[in-house]
Amino acid sequence: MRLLPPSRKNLIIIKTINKGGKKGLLKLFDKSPFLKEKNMSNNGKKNKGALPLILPAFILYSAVVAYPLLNMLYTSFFEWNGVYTTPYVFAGLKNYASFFQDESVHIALKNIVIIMVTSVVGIVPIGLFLASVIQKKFFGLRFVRVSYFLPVIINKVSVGLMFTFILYPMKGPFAQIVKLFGGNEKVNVLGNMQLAIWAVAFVLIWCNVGLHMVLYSSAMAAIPDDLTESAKLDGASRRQIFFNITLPLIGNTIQISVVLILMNAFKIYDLVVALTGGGPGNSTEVLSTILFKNAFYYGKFGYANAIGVITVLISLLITVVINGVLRACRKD
Amino acid sequence: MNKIGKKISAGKIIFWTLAFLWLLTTIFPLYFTIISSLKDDNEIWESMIRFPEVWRFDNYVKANSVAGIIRATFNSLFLSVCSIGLMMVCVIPASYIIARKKIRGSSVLSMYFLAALMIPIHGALIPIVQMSNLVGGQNSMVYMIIIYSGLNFSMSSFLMSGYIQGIDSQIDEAASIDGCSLRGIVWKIIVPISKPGIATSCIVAFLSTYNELPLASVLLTKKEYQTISVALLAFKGDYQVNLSWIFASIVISMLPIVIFYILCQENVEKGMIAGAVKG
Repeated sequence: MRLLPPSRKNLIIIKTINKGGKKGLLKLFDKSPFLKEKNMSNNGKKNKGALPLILPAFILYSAVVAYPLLNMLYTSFFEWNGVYTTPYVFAGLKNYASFFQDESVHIALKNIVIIMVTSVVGIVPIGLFLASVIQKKFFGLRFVRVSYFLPVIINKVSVGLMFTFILYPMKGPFAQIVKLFGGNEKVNVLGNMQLAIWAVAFVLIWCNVGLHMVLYSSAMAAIPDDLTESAKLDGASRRQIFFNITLPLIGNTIQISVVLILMNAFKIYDLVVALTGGGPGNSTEVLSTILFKNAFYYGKFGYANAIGVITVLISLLITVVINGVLRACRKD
Repeated sequence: MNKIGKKISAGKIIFWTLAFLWLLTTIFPLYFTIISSLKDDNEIWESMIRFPEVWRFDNYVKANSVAGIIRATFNSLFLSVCSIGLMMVCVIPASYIIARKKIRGSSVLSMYFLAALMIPIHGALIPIVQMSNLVGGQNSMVYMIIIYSGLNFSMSSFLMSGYIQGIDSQIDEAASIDGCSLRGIVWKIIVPISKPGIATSCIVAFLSTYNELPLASVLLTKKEYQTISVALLAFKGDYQVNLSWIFASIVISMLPIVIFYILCQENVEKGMIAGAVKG
């Protein structure tokens, strides 16, 4: 930088670089006295060193997340069998067209809607209820709390295996309970075209409730005690306190949790694979299992990528719609 | 007076009954798994609910020799810890910069980082597998660590920048006036204050990494690199294996994560109390 004499013209150049936001370049100029002054007056001191702090994150994210996504978008317009030496064959929108004609896709979409709706309907109320349980102080609180949360952290494949045996016809504990209540003990939940998807949805709720319980409970704990105390003094019942004070105050958390629930339900893969593997037939197929099968069983990589792109688009759409709806609700 | 007391207790009975019912729902599958892991197969088929007559701990030894479940558990732990470490080192400073808008285009960057929050992992499954062929990432732990750290990136940066926004900016402004560099502020001030936030994002990231299935099942095909999900999934539909071995494997795979949870739960609870005090 010694090449640049501190003339008026160069100052202007430096200023424009500064305006362009390339803070890294400015570091080189830091040592020259006339610029130091400039920096101080420009509030530049505050932001010194911000770029190196954010750069590793940017590189990691771009390489591992952004690049594969763009690559997926690109490949989705080609036909490709996954073998490295074979060339990509341009297919235009053919992959997308076959997505909408694929019968298993229709089943998958229907299943995903079932899973998402039951997840929200199940997890939010149960989560709120459990959160208010663990807010209380009683003997064995820690044990109860740990038990409520345990399903969240257990590997989904082991959960799947566990419930495969719990739902086993005749001998399984679930069949025994059904028998106890006078039902048919031969009920084969996971082998039934209609029932299997509901079993998957229930197991997903069973797995995720604990997480949302902790979310709500931490939001509840952050509510200042004097608010509830003064409400109690004014003669409000527990129920009134819950619905009029607690619930509105943790509204933000619930909004976040609903988005999380929907995303989790939409992303479901492990549970389906471990419980039913998409069967019986293709009655519990979801988008992710279809994607996986098309790529690694049938070698239709282009088509699988098209499914991937559509998955991404749908999830973006869900988030936008949910956030919009919830924002509108909160304004009312 | 008496009447009011009764009314409350009626509500309470329903409340606690429901709480107990859900407790049963969560506990029973675990109980069922543990007792079944100690029976032999005839006993399991006789009754899936009854307590084992003889405790057969050799099921665990068999399970390990058949499925290599301890090795798989270790692999999963190793991958999770390394990838979370790498990720947090990147995410914490970045979230601070974004939360405090220290750089031009902070909001754009924030949207860029959060974009993948809405995107299911398996969407990008195939490109990641393709990329692994390019850089020789098949059966490579290093590649998996880098990939896993990226997969949890958005969630952690979402949690962290949310948490840092909740910290009073006067604290770090005061430090900056006293001459603390940005790097110093992040590591000496923000990190200690946001421990609960860090714990939460670590837990979330740990859960998804430890339990991750689709990528591991494609990329880690060699038995010595198998993660816990892959090893367990191998049991699915394998009728040659004794049931008790499957259950024993499930229990082994659960142990480290249950211990981890009990240790870290303390951290999370402390964080909640701290948040309550501040509020």
